[in-house]
Parts: sequence; C-alpha cells; structure tokens
Amino acid sequence: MRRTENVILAAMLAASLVGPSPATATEPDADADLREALRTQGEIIQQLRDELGRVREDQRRNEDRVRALEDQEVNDPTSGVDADYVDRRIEQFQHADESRLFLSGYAKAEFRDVLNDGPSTFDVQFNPIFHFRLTDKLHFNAELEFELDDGGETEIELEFATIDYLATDWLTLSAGKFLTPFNVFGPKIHPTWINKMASRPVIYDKNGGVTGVLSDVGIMASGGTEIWSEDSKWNYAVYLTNGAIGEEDGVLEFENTPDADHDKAFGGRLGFLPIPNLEVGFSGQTGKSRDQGRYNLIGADFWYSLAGFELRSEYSRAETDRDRWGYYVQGAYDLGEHVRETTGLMGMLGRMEPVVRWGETMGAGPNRQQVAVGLAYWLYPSVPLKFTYELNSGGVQNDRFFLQVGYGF
Amino acid sequence: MLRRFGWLAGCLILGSALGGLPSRGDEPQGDVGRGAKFYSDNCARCHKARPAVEHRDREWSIVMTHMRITAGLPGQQARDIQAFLWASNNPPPLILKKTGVAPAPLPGTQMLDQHGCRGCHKIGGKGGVIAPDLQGVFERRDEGWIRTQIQHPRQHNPQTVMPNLGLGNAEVDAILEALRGTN
Repeated sequence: MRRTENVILAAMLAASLVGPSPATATEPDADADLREALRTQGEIIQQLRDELGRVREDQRRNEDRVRALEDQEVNDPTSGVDADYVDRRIEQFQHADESRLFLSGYAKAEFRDVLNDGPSTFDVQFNPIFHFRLTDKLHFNAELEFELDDGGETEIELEFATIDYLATDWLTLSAGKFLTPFNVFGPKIHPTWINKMASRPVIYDKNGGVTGVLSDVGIMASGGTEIWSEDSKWNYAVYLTNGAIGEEDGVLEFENTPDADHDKAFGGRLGFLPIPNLEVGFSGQTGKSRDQGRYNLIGADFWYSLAGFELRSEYSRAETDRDRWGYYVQGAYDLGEHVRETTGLMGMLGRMEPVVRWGETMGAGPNRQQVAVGLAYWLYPSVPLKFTYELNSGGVQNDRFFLQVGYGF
Repeated sequence: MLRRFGWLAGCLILGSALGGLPSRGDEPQGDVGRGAKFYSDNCARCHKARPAVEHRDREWSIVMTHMRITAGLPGQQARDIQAFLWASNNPPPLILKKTGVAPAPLPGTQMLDQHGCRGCHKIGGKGGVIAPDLQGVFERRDEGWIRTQIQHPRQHNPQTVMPNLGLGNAEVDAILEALRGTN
C-alpha cells in the first residue's frame, strides 16, 4: 500500500513537472487569442489612421488646387471658356444697336471789320446737322442754319434735308433739299471748320460773285467707283431740281421756290481722281429761271496736294441773258507735315497753315478782283482759328479783316 | 429736249437701281489694311483727318454713310475706312490672343502691307502721307520707343488714329527687321 501510494505520488509529481494541469492549460490559450485579437485590432486602427492621414492630405491638396484655379480665373477670365463664343459676344457688344440718331454740325464765332470806314462787328453762326439711320441703306440727313441778320434777329434756314437710299456700292438715290453738286466749294468745302479762309471765294460772294452756295429741292443720283486700280476713282452726281429764280446784278439766285413753269433744272458733276492726290471735276446745269428765262451754269474744279502743299481752283460761268463768270485759285501749306512736335514753340508752328487766294469775277454786273491772305491755326483737326485779310478792288466790297473760330463737331 | 433727257436718265437710273438691289447683309466686310490707305487718301482731301477716338463705332458707321454720299466714295472703300476706324478705337480683346500655340508671324514686309502701315506711313519711299515718313526712324527714335508705339500707340499720343492691332513681340520683331531693311 505504501509502495503503491508512493508510486502514485511519484507519478503525480512527475506529471506536474512535465505538463500543466488541465485547469492551467485553458488560460494561456485565451490570452493568446486575446492578444491576437488586440494585435489585429491595433493593425486595423493603424490602417485607419494611415487612411485618415491620406484623406486629409488629399483634401489639403484639393483645397490648394481650388485656390490656384480661382486665382487663375481672376487673372485669366478666359480660362475654361470657349474662345470663339466670347469673341462673338464681344463683337456683338461692340456693334450693338445704340441710338440711330447722331448729331453733328459746325459753328463759328468771328470778328469782321470792313475797312475804309466800314462797319466792324462780332458775329456768330450755328449749323446743327441731324443724321438718322433708318436702316443700313436708308438714311435721313438735315442741316439747319442759325445766324443773325443786320438787326440782330435770328434767321433760321434749312440748308439741306434729304432722305438717302444707298442702292448699291456705286449708286445713292437722294430726295429733298440738297447742296447742289456744282463744283466743290458749295457741297464740300464751305463749312467753317473745313474752309481754311474765314470768307468765301469771290465767285461765291453775295456781292459781285457768280452764284452763291447753291442748294435746291429735287432728286439726285450720285456715287463713285474705282477705275483701273484702288488708287484711281471717279465720282458723279446728276439731279433734277426746281432751278433758279433769276439773277440780280449778274448773280444767279436760287431761292428754292416752287417751279411755276414746269421746267425743271437738270445738272450734274463728274469728278475724276487718276491718282489719290489729284482731282478734276466738271459741272453743269441748265434750266429756266422763274423771272428771266433759260440759263446755263458751267463749272470746273481742280485740287492737288503734295507734301503738305495744297492747290485748289474753281471756275464758274452763268449764262443768262447777261453772262457772268469768274475763278479763284487758292494755295495752302500745312506746316504740320514737317513739324511733328506737339508741344512748345515747335508744336505751335506745326499747327499753322498759311493760305493765299486770288480770284476775280467779270461780265454782267461789277467786275471784282480779290487777293486774300490768311493763316489757319489748328487748335484741333476740326477747330481752326483763322486770320484772313481781303484786298478787294472793283465792285462795292471794301477790304475786310476777319478773326474767326470755326468749330466742327 | 434736254428736260426729257433728264427725266429719261432719271428713270433709267432708278430702274437699274431697283433691279439690282443687294439684300441686307450681302455686303462684304471692310478690310483694315485697305482702310488705312483709303483713310489717308480720302479723309484729308477736303478736311483734316478726324481722330477715331472722337466717336464710338456706331457713330462712325453713321458718319461714314454721310461721308460716302458727300465725297462720292465707292461703297467698299467706305466700309474699309469704317473697319480701320473701328480697329483704331478697339484694341483686340485678350480672348483673341488665347491660343494653345502662337502661330508663326508673317514676314515683316508682308505685315507692313497687311496691317495697313503703308496706308498712313511712307515706308521705303512708298505709302501714305498723314503719318510720319518712317525713313530714318531708327535715327530719330530708339527701338524701345518704336516698339511701344507699335504695341501701345496711345501711350505716346492719346489722340492718335494709329490702331492697336494687338501684335505680339515676335510680330513686332519681324516688323522692326522689315523697317530696318527699308532704312
């Protein structure tokens, strides 16, 4: 018994030394699982932390990119926009329909001294020109003239009022009252901001001229085309109007009165520019005046310019029962052609344009001769300050001095 | 007799006009280069040339119609002058310069004609008269001044009629080289 007990105790002791008891073998397995679970959880948490870091980094980069795009959009409004679309919209905006009425015109303020005990006076004139664009091809143009008579009362005249239809590139049809296309001074040069002298050439003077600045009521066809190259062209105008009313002291007069004898005046002008700086023109009109029967008007004009020098000349002849004719020649030299400074004394010199004009009239009525010298000082391309001195002989016109500011707008 | 001829001529002109009316929008556009030349040739014939800055584009359109009638200008020349005045008033929008790759500039001599430089300036003895003769320009002005005048004309003279054509540096280089060849 003792021997058996000793054997059993020895066996138990040996077992305890060799392996755990069934009770202690269960706890280490649970710890391991727990540790494994904890390790796994830790890995997962770390992965999540890493992922969160990457997300935050991406978010930061995206925010930087958005800021960069916003800055780019401020500096370059075209980014991301179709270029052709924006070009078209800009062009449409630039040429969008605005008012179809446009006001231009000219004016003058002058001091006029008739020498040799004649009167001296300040004078003013205002000529607004209304342009109304009905359509691209249909325009209305009208000019009023406001001036003071000898009594200081305001006189208002309708200088012209036409409706113009631009039928083709070479033909415009006009109806209404228009500046008669006879020579060029009347229809083109007489406005105060264009005429380099403060007075009209002698052939257009109310005292002892051939005609005045002609205007009449009727219909006209006009236009121009290139000839053998873009450097050469011709222009034309043909018209039917009411015609003259008569002549006084040899000067043919047009007062735009109704045509009582059903005999319209017919006339025209043909201009030829073989080179850009040379123009010659021929004008004519025939009709029957209200008071004095048939008349014919004949005219010729010439213009040439080179290196700042300009030469202009016109001839007029009025054939009634008493013929009258005359001419003028005008030369001008634009110092601005050679003086490019815009400030200082040289700048002042560059704005000056000395002018000299010679003319005479003869035939029925008093014969006149005139020499005029002048200086146009261009305050602006459409604002000349003009000094003009006329030496007149023959007729009833004394020598005259003018100081005039012309203004074109 | 002459009266009847006048009425007949009037009817013939009116009839041909009515028979040949172009529809609206058929007219060709204006060319800036030709417009510069015609501006120089025509607009100083009777009066001094007016700066483009005086009027906006729509106003110039109405003015040019009036001048076409008054001066007897051919219709296309009037449209070319109008295009030149519009170009003078409006530097090209930045959008027009937004290209992926800048195109190679034309030869300088070709650009002098295409952009209408000779329309106003005399270059190599030929050209317009309303702007300075460019013969000897490098003796009068340094290259920086000339470059500024080409790219920003109104910086030197706010009232200049010279248009800003939006030329890049490479194009200006070509123009300057062409100008040196004529001087």
